[in-house]
Amino acid sequence: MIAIFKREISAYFNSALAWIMMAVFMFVLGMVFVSMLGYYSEASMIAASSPFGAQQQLNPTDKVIVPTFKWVGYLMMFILPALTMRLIAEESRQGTLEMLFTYPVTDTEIVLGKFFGCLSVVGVMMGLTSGMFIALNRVVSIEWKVVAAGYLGVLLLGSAFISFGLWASSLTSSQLIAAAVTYCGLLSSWLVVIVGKEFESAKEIFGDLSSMSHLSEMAQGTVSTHHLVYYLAWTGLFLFLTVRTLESRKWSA
Amino acid sequence: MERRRKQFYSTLFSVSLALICYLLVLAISHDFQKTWDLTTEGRHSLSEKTIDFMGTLNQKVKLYAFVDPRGDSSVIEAMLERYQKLSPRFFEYEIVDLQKNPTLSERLQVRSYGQGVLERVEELPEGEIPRRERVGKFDEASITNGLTKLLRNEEKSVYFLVGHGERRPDQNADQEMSHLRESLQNEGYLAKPLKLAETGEIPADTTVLVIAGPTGELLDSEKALLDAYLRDNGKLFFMADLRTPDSYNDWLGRYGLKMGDSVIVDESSQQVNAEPVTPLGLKYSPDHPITKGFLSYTAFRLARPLELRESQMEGWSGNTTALVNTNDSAYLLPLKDILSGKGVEFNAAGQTPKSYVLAASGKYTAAGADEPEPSPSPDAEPKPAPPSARIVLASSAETFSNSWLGLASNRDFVLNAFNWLAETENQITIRPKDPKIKPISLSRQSQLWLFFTFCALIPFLSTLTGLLISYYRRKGTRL
Repeated sequence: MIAIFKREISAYFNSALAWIMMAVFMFVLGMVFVSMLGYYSEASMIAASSPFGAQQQLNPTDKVIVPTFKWVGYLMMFILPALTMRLIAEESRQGTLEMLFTYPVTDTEIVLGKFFGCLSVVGVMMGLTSGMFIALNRVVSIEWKVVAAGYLGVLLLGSAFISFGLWASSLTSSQLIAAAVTYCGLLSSWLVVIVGKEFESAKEIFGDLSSMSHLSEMAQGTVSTHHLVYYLAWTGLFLFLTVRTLESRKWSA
Repeated sequence: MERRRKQFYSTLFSVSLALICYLLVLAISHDFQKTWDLTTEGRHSLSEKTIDFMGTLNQKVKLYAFVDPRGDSSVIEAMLERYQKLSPRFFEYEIVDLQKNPTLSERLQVRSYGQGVLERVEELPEGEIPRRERVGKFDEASITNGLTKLLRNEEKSVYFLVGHGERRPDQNADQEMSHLRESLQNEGYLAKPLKLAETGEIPADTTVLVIAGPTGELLDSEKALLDAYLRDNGKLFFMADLRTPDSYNDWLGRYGLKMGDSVIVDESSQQVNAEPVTPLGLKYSPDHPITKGFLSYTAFRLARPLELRESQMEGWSGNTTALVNTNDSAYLLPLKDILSGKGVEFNAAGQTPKSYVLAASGKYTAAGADEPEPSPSPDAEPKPAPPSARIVLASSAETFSNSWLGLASNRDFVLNAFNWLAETENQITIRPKDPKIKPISLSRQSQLWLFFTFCALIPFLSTLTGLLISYYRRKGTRL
């Protein structure tokens, strides 16, 4: 598994794709972060100039940290399919997948190696965003526990998205189709909450199935075992499905 | 072929099993979840007061929450779910869309979103309407107080003494107390003026008697009536005024309370852009039901320092408590300087800044009330509870006037005080747990630096690295 993992890491960081994706991610998130901070600073000045303006709810958690993490979630929905589409589809197209099957590694190890390789890229992206919170903490003291909960949330969301992308990539040899399936799946997992609003009786179920609602709560500092189980179960399910898909290639060939 | 079929069915079975397990795990984790609130003030959990109250709920109640479907209702739903978990047998809620449920909206007489109606769920004779209580906001304070009001059966009378220059609950001028009357009404109290000289007695239905900033003397006969009232389970809320005559100190002194003859000047009030004669209440008695759990400040306007002494009530034992104090940054200004119109310029020279009492309470019990009673015989009639009195003394009536009541936590404090006096501690107002206020000041230059670092420098370096790698890889391939 370590060998596959190293191979994936090397593949990501030796191609322009991961770096450009990180640049796009940081650019958009940076814009969001700086504009939130500017708005927060402006609101502070207005509050300071009015008597008892301090009664207004001015705190970095609600004004900057929560929106930033929500944006990380939205951005991951658009960036991760581009990173996961090649994971198995490319190997399948180039015919290297069959070669990989001949190596002394199990299907599970192949899948986990690729999964953790992609997760490392997400980890690096998150590492880059930490500079924002350090900068924010220099201006005003922030709730680090809430930041930690937010990071845990985006990492779990990233794991879930990667596992889905990996499964989509295992279904086809076309990267484009893999990316399209992943986009559709991830968007559906987000927009399922809208469907729920149309069906009053099933509103709670649909709301609970939405991938973003769990991140939203974690970013606000509420960590529940249900949030953890939701993401971990999703990740586990799609990793399992990917392994089964790979296995099926052997006996169906 | 047979092997492939077997493999197919094996895969189909394992995938189906995985899907079932996945759904089961989700359902179980939803029903048996543990939640950690990592915010500093515990903003996403219910307060101890609500938890205690919900534990005592023994009547089925339903909350109809009219929430705008265009907005995000998840925060409200999460809070209502927390309520339901505390008392699943007796509390239920329903998120209602006005447009989709016109009949229900009409029945509950709700015309706009953002309102809630609490309704007792009980079997009533046909035509009778169940008791309801309106909830103006979907926050913990409004819901818990709505529940307490819904389950309370009678309306309590609060009398405001008038005729000695006191502030009145039935007048709307800035210095009067009509806003306090409305707030009390929302809490289930009916506030009425009382002219003791005319009635000659304190009404028997008095729950709390208020003397709000008297500037004229009390007659001896009135003092005697007040003493008799207090000795008969009386509850008094006394609010001082700068012009309250010193003779009141002689009377209050018997109850171990005294108003100083100076005005508190507090430098920390500048933190909230208030004048120095508006000392901030920043230290609270942590154990007293009125101030327990208070985190935000109270702004007392034109306050006299209070002193606590031994109670002088004959045959009674008394216990006085300082409820609200200033920080250790307050000074005193002679009262006569303010009253003579000299202004509020003060010289701190020769004074050491210290903390002063802004509000105090006293609880008095007739002697012998605490002695253990011999075990009663089964036939004996239950003994009446021994008389006890309660007093809250606030250093400034101005603080609770129409101008100042809505500022900071003034309203919460005064309503808590009324609830404590009325011995309905479970109706203590729950202050919304606002996050700590942390304003920032970011210069244009700092904003530009942040923009440059996160929107230009890091993305540029990342792109450059990607392009260089790509270039050298191609170059390497060509070579």
